[in-house]
Amino acid sequence: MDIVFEQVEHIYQANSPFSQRALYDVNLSIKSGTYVAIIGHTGSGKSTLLQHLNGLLQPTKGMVCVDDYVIHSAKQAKQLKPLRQKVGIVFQFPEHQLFEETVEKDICFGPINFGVSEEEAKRRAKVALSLVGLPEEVLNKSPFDLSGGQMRRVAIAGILAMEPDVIVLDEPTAGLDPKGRKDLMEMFARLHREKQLTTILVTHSMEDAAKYADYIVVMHKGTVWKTGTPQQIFHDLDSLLHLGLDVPETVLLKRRLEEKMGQEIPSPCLTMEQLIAGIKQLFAKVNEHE
Amino acid sequence: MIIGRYVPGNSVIHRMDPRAKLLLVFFYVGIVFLANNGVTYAILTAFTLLLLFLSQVPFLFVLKGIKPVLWVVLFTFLLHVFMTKEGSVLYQIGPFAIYEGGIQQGIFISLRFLLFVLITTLLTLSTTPIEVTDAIESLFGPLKRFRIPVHELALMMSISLRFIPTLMDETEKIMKAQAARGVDFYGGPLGERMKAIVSLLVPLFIHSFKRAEELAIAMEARGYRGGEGRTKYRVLTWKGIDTVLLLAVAILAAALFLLRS
Repeated sequence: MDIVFEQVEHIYQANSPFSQRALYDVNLSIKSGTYVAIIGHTGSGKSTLLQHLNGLLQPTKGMVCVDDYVIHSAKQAKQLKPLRQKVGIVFQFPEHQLFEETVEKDICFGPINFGVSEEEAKRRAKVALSLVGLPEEVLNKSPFDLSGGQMRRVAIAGILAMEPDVIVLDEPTAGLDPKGRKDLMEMFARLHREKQLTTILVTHSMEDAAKYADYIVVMHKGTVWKTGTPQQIFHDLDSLLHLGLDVPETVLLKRRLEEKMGQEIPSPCLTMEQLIAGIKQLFAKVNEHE
Repeated sequence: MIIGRYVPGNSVIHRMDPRAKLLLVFFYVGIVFLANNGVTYAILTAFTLLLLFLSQVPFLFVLKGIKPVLWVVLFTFLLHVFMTKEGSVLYQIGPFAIYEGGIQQGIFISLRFLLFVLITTLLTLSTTPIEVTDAIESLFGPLKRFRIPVHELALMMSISLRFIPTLMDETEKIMKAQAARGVDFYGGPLGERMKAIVSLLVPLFIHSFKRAEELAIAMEARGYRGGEGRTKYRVLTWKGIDTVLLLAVAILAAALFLLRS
Protein backbone atom coordinates (compact mmCIF):
# COMPACT_ATOMS: atom_id res chain seq x y z
CA MET A 1 0.00 0.00 0.00
CA ASP A 2 2.34 2.74 -1.13
CA ILE A 3 0.82 6.18 -0.83
CA VAL A 4 1.82 9.01 -3.13
CA PHE A 5 0.67 12.63 -3.16
CA GLU A 6 1.52 14.55 -6.31
CA GLN A 7 1.15 18.31 -6.42
CA VAL A 8 -1.97 18.11 -4.29
CA GLU A 9 -3.92 21.25 -3.70
CA HIS A 10 -7.18 21.55 -1.82
CA ILE A 11 -9.38 24.61 -1.76
CA TYR A 12 -12.46 24.55 0.43
CA GLN A 13 -15.56 26.00 -1.24
CA ALA A 14 -13.65 26.70 -4.42
CA ASN A 15 -15.06 29.33 -6.79
CA SER A 16 -17.00 31.09 -4.07
CA PRO A 17 -16.28 34.21 -2.06
CA PHE A 18 -15.62 31.92 0.91
CA SER A 19 -12.90 29.90 -0.81
CA GLN A 20 -9.99 28.95 1.37
CA ARG A 21 -6.80 27.24 0.34
CA ALA A 22 -6.01 24.56 2.89
CA LEU A 23 -3.32 22.65 0.98
CA TYR A 24 -1.01 23.46 -1.91
CA ASP A 25 1.85 21.80 -3.71
CA VAL A 26 1.89 18.77 -1.44
CA ASN A 27 4.27 16.07 -2.59
CA LEU A 28 4.65 13.06 -0.40
CA SER A 29 5.43 9.43 -0.71
CA ILE A 30 4.81 6.94 2.03
CA LYS A 31 6.21 3.45 1.63
CA SER A 32 4.13 0.48 2.62
CA GLY A 33 4.68 -0.61 6.21
CA THR A 34 6.21 2.59 7.52
CA TYR A 35 5.15 4.58 10.55
CA VAL A 36 4.81 8.23 9.61
CA ALA A 37 4.07 11.09 11.97
CA ILE A 38 2.61 14.32 10.66
CA ILE A 39 3.27 17.33 12.81
CA GLY A 40 2.40 20.98 12.43
CA HIS A 41 0.37 23.78 13.86
CA THR A 42 -3.40 23.88 14.08
CA GLY A 43 -4.48 25.04 10.62
CA SER A 44 -1.35 23.79 8.89
CA GLY A 45 -3.44 21.41 6.78
CA LYS A 46 -2.88 18.12 8.61
CA SER A 47 -6.55 17.18 8.87
CA THR A 48 -7.25 18.16 5.29
CA LEU A 49 -4.29 16.09 4.19
CA LEU A 50 -5.43 12.94 5.90
CA GLN A 51 -8.97 13.18 4.59
CA HIS A 52 -7.47 12.77 1.13
CA LEU A 53 -6.17 9.35 2.08
CA ASN A 54 -9.54 7.63 1.71
CA GLY A 55 -11.33 9.96 -0.63
CA LEU A 56 -13.36 11.88 1.93
CA LEU A 57 -11.92 14.91 0.20
CA GLN A 58 -10.90 15.12 -3.40
CA PRO A 59 -7.92 17.24 -4.39
CA THR A 60 -8.77 20.37 -6.34
CA LYS A 61 -5.46 19.95 -8.15
CA GLY A 62 -2.98 17.10 -8.50
CA MET A 63 -3.57 13.52 -7.50
CA VAL A 64 -3.41 11.03 -4.67
CA CYS A 65 -2.48 7.41 -5.26
CA VAL A 66 -3.06 4.73 -2.67
CA ASP A 67 -1.69 1.46 -3.98
CA ASP A 68 -3.27 1.21 -7.46
CA TYR A 69 -6.15 3.44 -6.48
CA VAL A 70 -5.89 6.91 -8.02
CA ILE A 71 -7.89 9.95 -6.96
CA HIS A 72 -7.42 12.63 -9.56
CA SER A 73 -8.63 16.20 -9.24
CA ALA A 74 -10.15 16.20 -12.72
CA LYS A 75 -12.26 13.07 -12.38
CA GLN A 76 -15.22 12.49 -10.11
CA ALA A 77 -14.14 9.69 -7.82
CA LYS A 78 -16.37 6.64 -7.81
CA GLN A 79 -16.51 3.39 -5.91
CA LEU A 80 -14.65 4.65 -2.87
CA LYS A 81 -15.71 1.73 -0.70
CA PRO A 82 -12.77 -0.58 -1.46
CA LEU A 83 -10.38 2.28 -0.74
CA ARG A 84 -12.13 3.14 2.50
CA GLN A 85 -11.86 -0.47 3.62
CA LYS A 86 -8.12 -0.43 2.99
CA VAL A 87 -7.52 2.90 4.71
CA GLY A 88 -9.04 3.08 8.18
CA ILE A 89 -9.21 6.55 9.67
CA VAL A 90 -9.50 7.02 13.40
CA PHE A 91 -10.76 10.58 13.69
CA GLN A 92 -10.18 12.88 16.62
CA PHE A 93 -12.44 11.90 19.49
CA PRO A 94 -13.57 8.72 17.68
CA GLU A 95 -15.92 7.86 20.57
CA HIS A 96 -18.29 10.45 19.08
CA GLN A 97 -19.10 8.07 16.25
CA LEU A 98 -20.49 5.28 18.45
CA PHE A 99 -24.22 4.78 18.00
CA GLU A 100 -25.27 1.14 18.33
CA GLU A 101 -26.98 -0.50 21.30
CA THR A 102 -24.12 -2.84 22.01
CA VAL A 103 -20.37 -2.65 21.66
CA GLU A 104 -20.41 -5.75 19.48
CA LYS A 105 -22.87 -4.25 17.00
CA ASP A 106 -20.90 -1.05 16.82
CA ILE A 107 -17.65 -2.83 16.07
CA CYS A 108 -19.40 -4.97 13.45
CA PHE A 109 -20.87 -1.91 11.76
CA GLY A 110 -17.79 -1.13 9.64
CA PRO A 111 -17.03 -4.69 8.48
CA ILE A 112 -20.69 -5.30 7.57
CA ASN A 113 -20.77 -2.09 5.56
CA PHE A 114 -17.86 -3.47 3.57
CA GLY A 115 -19.72 -6.68 2.82
CA VAL A 116 -18.34 -9.00 5.50
CA SER A 117 -20.74 -11.69 6.73
CA GLU A 118 -22.26 -11.32 10.18
CA GLU A 119 -20.44 -14.29 11.73
CA GLU A 120 -17.13 -13.12 10.34
CA ALA A 121 -17.82 -9.60 11.63
CA LYS A 122 -18.57 -10.97 15.10
CA ARG A 123 -15.37 -12.98 15.06
CA ARG A 124 -13.45 -9.88 14.07
CA ALA A 125 -15.18 -7.88 16.81
CA LYS A 126 -13.82 -10.27 19.42
CA VAL A 127 -10.32 -10.10 18.00
CA ALA A 128 -10.39 -6.32 17.69
CA LEU A 129 -11.64 -5.92 21.23
CA SER A 130 -8.78 -7.97 22.62
CA LEU A 131 -6.35 -6.02 20.45
CA VAL A 132 -7.42 -2.78 22.11
CA GLY A 133 -7.14 -4.45 25.48
CA LEU A 134 -10.76 -4.70 26.59
CA PRO A 135 -12.33 -7.80 28.17
CA GLU A 136 -14.87 -9.81 26.22
CA GLU A 137 -17.72 -9.03 28.66
CA VAL A 138 -17.84 -5.54 27.22
CA LEU A 139 -19.25 -6.90 23.93
CA ASN A 140 -22.82 -6.99 25.18
CA LYS A 141 -22.73 -3.68 27.02
CA SER A 142 -24.03 -0.43 25.66
CA PRO A 143 -21.09 1.68 24.49
CA PHE A 144 -22.61 4.62 26.36
CA ASP A 145 -22.20 2.87 29.71
CA LEU A 146 -18.43 2.73 29.30
CA SER A 147 -15.85 5.22 30.54
CA GLY A 148 -14.42 7.77 28.10
CA GLY A 149 -11.18 5.85 27.63
CA GLN A 150 -13.03 2.57 27.05
CA MET A 151 -15.36 4.22 24.55
CA ARG A 152 -12.36 5.41 22.59
CA ARG A 153 -10.92 1.91 22.56
CA VAL A 154 -14.22 0.51 21.30
CA ALA A 155 -14.29 3.11 18.52
CA ILE A 156 -10.75 2.18 17.56
CA ALA A 157 -11.69 -1.50 17.60
CA GLY A 158 -14.46 -0.58 15.16
CA ILE A 159 -11.82 0.63 12.71
CA LEU A 160 -9.45 -2.29 13.33
CA ALA A 161 -12.26 -4.77 12.64
CA MET A 162 -12.39 -3.43 9.09
CA GLU A 163 -8.90 -4.98 8.78
CA PRO A 164 -7.37 -2.01 6.97
CA ASP A 165 -3.86 -2.06 5.53
CA VAL A 166 -3.31 1.58 6.38
CA ILE A 167 -4.38 3.09 9.66
CA VAL A 168 -4.61 6.82 10.02
CA LEU A 169 -4.70 8.27 13.53
CA ASP A 170 -5.75 11.86 14.08
CA GLU A 171 -4.52 12.81 17.56
CA PRO A 172 -5.70 9.52 19.02
CA THR A 173 -4.69 10.38 22.57
CA ALA A 174 -6.29 13.82 22.85
CA GLY A 175 -8.04 14.24 26.17
CA LEU A 176 -6.72 11.05 27.79
CA ASP A 177 -4.71 10.82 31.00
CA PRO A 178 -0.95 10.15 30.76
CA LYS A 179 -1.30 6.42 31.37
CA GLY A 180 -4.13 6.10 28.85
CA ARG A 181 -2.00 7.95 26.33
CA LYS A 182 0.98 5.71 26.82
CA ASP A 183 -1.09 2.51 26.70
CA LEU A 184 -2.79 3.57 23.50
CA MET A 185 0.42 4.63 21.77
CA GLU A 186 2.10 1.36 22.77
CA MET A 187 -0.89 -0.52 21.40
CA PHE A 188 -0.63 1.22 18.04
CA ALA A 189 3.11 0.54 17.94
CA ARG A 190 2.45 -3.14 18.61
CA LEU A 191 -0.27 -3.33 15.95
CA HIS A 192 2.03 -1.61 13.51
CA ARG A 193 4.72 -4.22 14.09
CA GLU A 194 2.53 -7.29 14.28
CA LYS A 195 0.15 -6.56 11.41
CA GLN A 196 2.66 -4.79 9.17
CA LEU A 197 0.29 -1.85 8.98
CA THR A 198 1.18 1.41 7.38
CA THR A 199 0.55 3.83 10.21
CA ILE A 200 0.01 7.54 9.79
CA LEU A 201 -0.14 9.52 13.00
CA VAL A 202 -1.17 13.14 13.27
CA THR A 203 0.04 14.44 16.59
CA HIS A 204 0.98 17.48 18.62
CA SER A 205 3.20 15.39 20.85
CA MET A 206 6.77 15.64 19.64
CA GLU A 207 7.72 12.93 22.13
CA ASP A 208 5.38 10.46 20.41
CA ALA A 209 6.55 11.51 16.95
CA ALA A 210 10.19 11.06 17.99
CA LYS A 211 9.61 7.78 19.74
CA TYR A 212 7.37 5.85 17.35
CA ALA A 213 7.72 7.23 13.84
CA ASP A 214 10.12 6.11 11.14
CA TYR A 215 9.53 9.35 9.26
CA ILE A 216 8.21 12.72 10.22
CA VAL A 217 6.39 15.11 7.91
CA VAL A 218 6.33 18.71 9.08
CA MET A 219 3.40 20.69 7.71
CA HIS A 220 3.42 24.46 7.67
CA LYS A 221 0.74 26.81 6.32
CA GLY A 222 -0.79 24.25 3.98
CA THR A 223 2.24 22.58 2.52
CA VAL A 224 4.98 20.13 3.42
CA TRP A 225 7.78 22.06 5.03
CA LYS A 226 10.17 19.20 5.62
CA THR A 227 10.29 15.42 5.73
CA GLY A 228 12.87 13.16 7.28
CA THR A 229 13.68 10.69 10.01
CA PRO A 230 13.10 11.93 13.56
CA GLN A 231 16.85 12.29 13.88
CA GLN A 232 17.03 14.57 10.84
CA ILE A 233 13.99 16.59 11.82
CA PHE A 234 14.97 17.22 15.41
CA HIS A 235 18.59 17.84 14.56
CA ASP A 236 17.58 21.23 13.23
CA LEU A 237 16.16 22.56 16.49
CA ASP A 238 16.22 26.25 15.71
CA SER A 239 14.10 26.21 12.58
CA LEU A 240 11.49 24.01 14.29
CA LEU A 241 11.32 26.41 17.21
CA HIS A 242 11.17 29.24 14.70
CA LEU A 243 8.04 27.67 13.19
CA GLY A 244 6.58 27.74 16.68
CA LEU A 245 6.68 23.95 17.03
CA ASP A 246 7.80 22.09 20.09
CA VAL A 247 10.68 19.67 20.18
CA PRO A 248 10.95 16.70 22.55
CA GLU A 249 11.98 17.71 26.07
CA THR A 250 14.85 15.25 25.90
CA VAL A 251 16.33 17.01 22.87
CA LEU A 252 16.08 20.34 24.65
CA LEU A 253 17.78 18.91 27.72
CA LYS A 254 20.53 17.44 25.60
CA ARG A 255 21.20 20.83 24.07
CA ARG A 256 21.31 22.58 27.43
CA LEU A 257 23.68 19.99 28.83
CA GLU A 258 25.93 20.36 25.81
CA GLU A 259 25.98 24.12 26.27
CA LYS A 260 26.76 23.85 29.98
CA MET A 261 29.42 21.16 29.71
CA GLY A 262 30.98 22.24 26.45
CA GLN A 263 30.88 18.64 25.31
CA GLU A 264 28.85 17.02 22.59
CA ILE A 265 26.54 14.14 23.40
CA PRO A 266 26.79 11.64 20.54
CA SER A 267 23.28 10.21 20.95
CA PRO A 268 20.35 11.97 19.23
CA CYS A 269 18.43 11.73 22.54
CA LEU A 270 14.99 11.40 20.97
CA THR A 271 13.66 9.28 23.81
CA MET A 272 14.21 9.08 27.51
CA GLU A 273 16.26 5.87 27.11
CA GLN A 274 18.54 7.45 24.52
CA LEU A 275 18.97 10.49 26.73
CA ILE A 276 19.96 8.38 29.72
CA ALA A 277 22.45 6.48 27.61
CA GLY A 278 23.78 9.77 26.26
CA ILE A 279 24.25 11.28 29.71
CA LYS A 280 26.04 8.13 30.88
CA GLN A 281 28.43 8.37 27.95
CA LEU A 282 29.00 12.05 28.68
CA PHE A 283 29.79 11.42 32.31
CA ALA A 284 32.11 8.59 31.46
CA LYS A 285 33.97 10.91 29.12
CA VAL A 286 34.17 13.70 31.71
CA ASN A 287 35.38 11.30 34.38
CA GLU A 288 38.03 9.96 32.06
CA HIS A 289 39.41 13.45 31.55
CA GLU A 290 39.75 13.97 35.27
CA MET B 1 -31.22 31.01 -0.32
CA ILE B 2 -30.89 34.46 1.22
CA ILE B 3 -33.98 34.24 3.37
CA GLY B 4 -32.62 34.25 6.90
CA ARG B 5 -29.24 35.60 5.87
CA TYR B 6 -27.98 38.84 7.32
CA VAL B 7 -26.16 41.36 5.15
CA PRO B 8 -24.09 43.69 7.31
CA GLY B 9 -24.63 47.37 6.65
CA ASN B 10 -25.10 50.75 8.22
CA SER B 11 -28.22 52.00 6.45
CA VAL B 12 -31.23 53.66 8.07
CA ILE B 13 -32.99 50.31 8.04
CA HIS B 14 -30.02 48.53 9.59
CA ARG B 15 -29.83 51.07 12.38
CA MET B 16 -33.54 50.92 13.18
CA ASP B 17 -34.61 49.52 16.50
CA PRO B 18 -35.35 45.85 15.81
CA ARG B 19 -38.62 46.22 17.73
CA ALA B 20 -39.70 48.92 15.30
CA LYS B 21 -38.74 46.72 12.37
CA LEU B 22 -40.68 43.82 13.74
CA LEU B 23 -43.74 45.99 14.35
CA LEU B 24 -43.37 47.49 10.90
CA VAL B 25 -43.37 44.08 9.25
CA PHE B 26 -46.28 42.98 11.43
CA PHE B 27 -48.47 45.96 10.50
CA TYR B 28 -47.35 45.81 6.90
CA VAL B 29 -48.45 42.21 6.57
CA GLY B 30 -51.82 43.26 7.97
CA ILE B 31 -52.41 46.16 5.61
CA VAL B 32 -51.29 44.35 2.48
CA PHE B 33 -54.77 42.84 2.53
CA LEU B 34 -56.33 46.28 2.24
CA ALA B 35 -55.04 46.71 -1.29
CA ASN B 36 -57.54 45.58 -3.90
CA ASN B 37 -57.07 47.75 -6.96
CA GLY B 38 -54.38 49.14 -9.24
CA VAL B 39 -53.77 52.34 -7.30
CA THR B 40 -53.49 50.73 -3.90
CA TYR B 41 -51.15 48.01 -5.17
CA ALA B 42 -49.04 50.65 -6.86
CA ILE B 43 -48.72 52.62 -3.62
CA LEU B 44 -47.88 49.48 -1.66
CA THR B 45 -45.23 48.42 -4.17
CA ALA B 46 -43.71 51.89 -4.20
CA PHE B 47 -43.51 51.90 -0.40
CA THR B 48 -41.84 48.50 -0.33
CA LEU B 49 -39.31 49.49 -2.97
CA LEU B 50 -38.57 52.65 -1.01
CA LEU B 51 -37.76 50.58 2.09
CA LEU B 52 -35.60 48.29 -0.02
CA PHE B 53 -33.79 51.32 -1.40
CA LEU B 54 -33.25 52.72 2.09
CA SER B 55 -31.71 49.44 3.27
CA GLN B 56 -28.95 49.79 0.65
CA VAL B 57 -28.91 46.04 0.13
CA PRO B 58 -28.00 45.52 -3.55
CA PHE B 59 -31.25 45.04 -5.46
CA LEU B 60 -29.80 42.24 -7.58
CA PHE B 61 -28.86 40.37 -4.43
CA VAL B 62 -32.45 40.52 -3.22
CA LEU B 63 -33.77 39.41 -6.62
CA LYS B 64 -31.41 36.46 -6.69
CA GLY B 65 -32.59 35.54 -3.22
CA ILE B 66 -36.27 35.49 -4.03
CA LYS B 67 -35.73 33.48 -7.20
CA PRO B 68 -36.71 30.16 -5.59
CA VAL B 69 -40.01 31.71 -4.47
CA LEU B 70 -40.78 32.83 -8.01
CA TRP B 71 -42.02 29.35 -8.92
CA VAL B 72 -44.61 29.51 -6.18
CA VAL B 73 -45.59 32.97 -7.36
CA LEU B 74 -45.95 31.71 -10.92
CA PHE B 75 -48.03 28.78 -9.73
CA THR B 76 -50.34 31.11 -7.77
CA PHE B 77 -50.65 33.30 -10.81
CA LEU B 78 -51.64 30.45 -13.11
CA LEU B 79 -54.04 29.04 -10.56
CA HIS B 80 -55.88 32.34 -10.36
CA VAL B 81 -55.82 32.86 -14.10
CA PHE B 82 -57.55 29.55 -14.71
CA MET B 83 -59.86 29.45 -11.70
CA THR B 84 -61.32 32.95 -11.68
CA LYS B 85 -64.37 33.39 -13.84
CA GLU B 86 -65.09 37.12 -13.82
CA GLY B 87 -65.29 39.81 -16.50
CA SER B 88 -65.10 39.16 -20.22
CA VAL B 89 -63.50 36.12 -21.79
CA LEU B 90 -60.13 37.01 -23.27
CA TYR B 91 -59.07 33.68 -24.69
CA GLN B 92 -60.52 30.26 -25.09
CA ILE B 93 -58.57 26.99 -25.26
CA GLY B 94 -60.93 24.04 -25.46
CA PRO B 95 -62.83 23.81 -22.19
CA PHE B 96 -60.54 26.37 -20.53
CA ALA B 97 -61.36 30.03 -20.73
CA ILE B 98 -59.21 32.89 -19.55
CA TYR B 99 -61.16 35.80 -18.13
CA GLU B 100 -60.13 39.41 -17.73
CA GLY B 101 -60.84 39.13 -14.00
CA GLY B 102 -58.58 36.10 -13.82
CA ILE B 103 -55.60 37.96 -15.21
CA GLN B 104 -56.18 40.85 -12.86
CA GLN B 105 -56.68 38.60 -9.84
CA GLY B 106 -53.61 36.58 -10.78
CA ILE B 107 -51.43 39.67 -10.94
CA PHE B 108 -52.76 41.07 -7.67
CA ILE B 109 -52.43 37.90 -5.69
CA SER B 110 -48.93 37.10 -6.93
CA LEU B 111 -47.92 40.69 -6.28
CA ARG B 112 -49.26 40.40 -2.75
CA PHE B 113 -47.28 37.23 -2.25
CA LEU B 114 -44.15 38.83 -3.66
CA LEU B 115 -44.51 41.84 -1.37
CA PHE B 116 -44.81 39.55 1.66
CA VAL B 117 -41.62 37.77 0.73
CA LEU B 118 -39.81 41.03 -0.02
CA ILE B 119 -40.66 42.66 3.29
CA THR B 120 -39.76 39.63 5.40
CA THR B 121 -36.55 39.14 3.41
CA LEU B 122 -35.77 42.78 4.04
CA LEU B 123 -36.22 42.20 7.75
CA THR B 124 -33.84 39.26 7.92
CA LEU B 125 -31.34 40.87 5.54
CA SER B 126 -31.04 43.95 7.71
CA THR B 127 -31.43 42.45 11.19
CA THR B 128 -29.24 39.88 12.91
CA PRO B 129 -31.15 36.92 14.35
CA ILE B 130 -30.03 37.91 17.83
CA GLU B 131 -31.55 41.38 17.36
CA VAL B 132 -34.82 39.77 16.34
CA THR B 133 -34.72 37.66 19.51
CA ASP B 134 -34.08 40.72 21.67
CA ALA B 135 -36.95 42.52 20.00
CA ILE B 136 -39.31 39.59 20.57
CA GLU B 137 -38.34 39.40 24.21
CA SER B 138 -38.94 43.10 24.66
CA LEU B 139 -42.20 43.24 22.71
CA PHE B 140 -43.70 40.24 24.45
CA GLY B 141 -42.44 41.45 27.84
CA PRO B 142 -45.94 42.41 29.06
CA LEU B 143 -47.01 38.76 28.71
CA LYS B 144 -44.86 37.96 31.75
CA ARG B 145 -47.81 39.14 33.82
CA PHE B 146 -49.73 36.14 32.55
CA ARG B 147 -46.89 33.84 33.64
CA ILE B 148 -45.68 33.26 30.13
CA PRO B 149 -41.89 32.63 30.34
CA VAL B 150 -40.94 35.25 27.76
CA HIS B 151 -37.32 35.54 28.82
CA GLU B 152 -36.82 31.79 28.77
CA LEU B 153 -38.41 31.47 25.35
CA ALA B 154 -36.15 34.21 24.01
CA LEU B 155 -33.15 32.52 25.60
CA MET B 156 -34.14 29.26 23.93
CA MET B 157 -34.29 31.02 20.62
CA SER B 158 -30.89 32.63 20.97
CA ILE B 159 -29.30 29.39 22.17
CA SER B 160 -30.69 27.47 19.22
CA LEU B 161 -29.46 30.16 16.85
CA ARG B 162 -26.06 30.06 18.48
CA PHE B 163 -25.78 26.29 18.08
CA ILE B 164 -26.79 25.99 14.45
CA PRO B 165 -23.21 26.35 13.16
CA THR B 166 -21.92 24.05 15.92
CA LEU B 167 -24.42 21.38 14.96
CA MET B 168 -23.54 21.75 11.29
CA ASP B 169 -19.85 21.24 12.08
CA GLU B 170 -20.68 18.24 14.18
CA THR B 171 -22.90 16.75 11.50
CA GLU B 172 -20.11 17.06 8.97
CA LYS B 173 -17.60 15.44 11.31
CA ILE B 174 -19.82 12.50 12.17
CA MET B 175 -20.78 11.99 8.53
CA LYS B 176 -17.12 11.81 7.64
CA ALA B 177 -16.34 9.41 10.47
CA GLN B 178 -19.18 7.10 9.42
CA ALA B 179 -18.27 7.41 5.74
CA ALA B 180 -14.80 6.20 6.72
CA ARG B 181 -16.56 3.15 8.19
CA GLY B 182 -18.17 2.43 4.85
CA VAL B 183 -21.45 4.29 5.16
CA ASP B 184 -22.84 5.67 1.93
CA PHE B 185 -25.04 8.68 2.72
CA TYR B 186 -25.88 9.46 -0.88
CA GLY B 187 -26.88 6.14 -2.37
CA GLY B 188 -27.66 2.52 -1.76
CA PRO B 189 -30.92 0.72 -0.95
CA LEU B 190 -33.50 2.27 1.37
CA GLY B 191 -32.71 0.00 4.34
CA GLU B 192 -29.04 0.93 4.28
CA ARG B 193 -29.91 4.59 3.86
CA MET B 194 -32.05 4.42 7.01
CA LYS B 195 -29.21 2.81 8.91
CA ALA B 196 -26.91 5.53 7.63
CA ILE B 197 -29.21 8.22 8.98
CA VAL B 198 -29.43 6.44 12.34
CA SER B 199 -25.63 6.30 12.54
CA LEU B 200 -25.65 10.07 12.14
CA LEU B 201 -28.61 11.01 14.30
CA VAL B 202 -27.84 8.96 17.40
CA PRO B 203 -24.40 10.52 18.02
CA LEU B 204 -25.80 13.93 17.16
CA PHE B 205 -28.60 13.64 19.73
CA ILE B 206 -26.39 12.18 22.43
CA HIS B 207 -24.03 15.04 21.93
CA SER B 208 -26.68 17.69 22.00
CA PHE B 209 -27.99 16.40 25.31
CA LYS B 210 -24.52 16.31 26.78
CA ARG B 211 -23.81 19.79 25.53
CA ALA B 212 -27.08 21.11 26.94
CA GLU B 213 -26.13 19.81 30.36
CA GLU B 214 -22.66 21.30 30.15
CA LEU B 215 -24.06 24.62 28.99
CA ALA B 216 -26.51 24.71 31.88
CA ILE B 217 -23.72 24.07 34.36
CA ALA B 218 -21.48 26.67 32.73
CA MET B 219 -24.27 29.24 32.87
CA GLU B 220 -25.02 28.55 36.50
CA ALA B 221 -21.33 28.72 37.32
CA ARG B 222 -21.35 32.22 35.91
CA GLY B 223 -24.28 33.20 38.07
CA TYR B 224 -27.16 32.92 35.64
CA ARG B 225 -30.48 32.76 37.49
CA GLY B 226 -33.08 33.60 34.89
CA GLY B 227 -34.29 36.90 33.55
CA GLU B 228 -35.25 38.50 36.87
CA GLY B 229 -33.21 41.67 37.37
CA ARG B 230 -30.87 40.80 34.52
CA THR B 231 -29.39 43.75 32.62
CA LYS B 232 -28.73 43.70 28.89
CA TYR B 233 -25.51 43.85 26.95
CA ARG B 234 -27.33 45.02 23.81
CA VAL B 235 -29.67 47.77 24.94
CA LEU B 236 -32.44 48.55 22.50
CA THR B 237 -33.04 52.25 21.94
CA TRP B 238 -36.10 53.68 20.25
CA LYS B 239 -35.06 56.56 18.01
CA GLY B 240 -36.86 59.23 16.06
CA ILE B 241 -36.50 57.34 12.78
CA ASP B 242 -38.35 54.37 14.27
CA THR B 243 -41.37 56.53 15.09
CA VAL B 244 -41.19 58.15 11.67
CA LEU B 245 -41.21 54.84 9.82
CA LEU B 246 -44.04 53.43 11.89
CA LEU B 247 -46.04 56.61 11.27
CA ALA B 248 -45.32 56.16 7.59
CA VAL B 249 -46.90 52.72 7.78
CA ALA B 250 -49.92 54.24 9.53
CA ILE B 251 -50.25 56.83 6.76
CA LEU B 252 -49.87 54.08 4.20
CA ALA B 253 -52.67 52.18 5.90
CA ALA B 254 -54.91 55.26 5.83
CA ALA B 255 -54.14 55.85 2.16
CA LEU B 256 -54.92 52.25 1.27
CA PHE B 257 -58.13 52.41 3.24
CA LEU B 258 -59.28 55.54 1.43
CA LEU B 259 -58.25 54.48 -2.03
CA ARG B 260 -59.43 50.89 -2.03
CA SER B 261 -62.51 50.11 -4.05
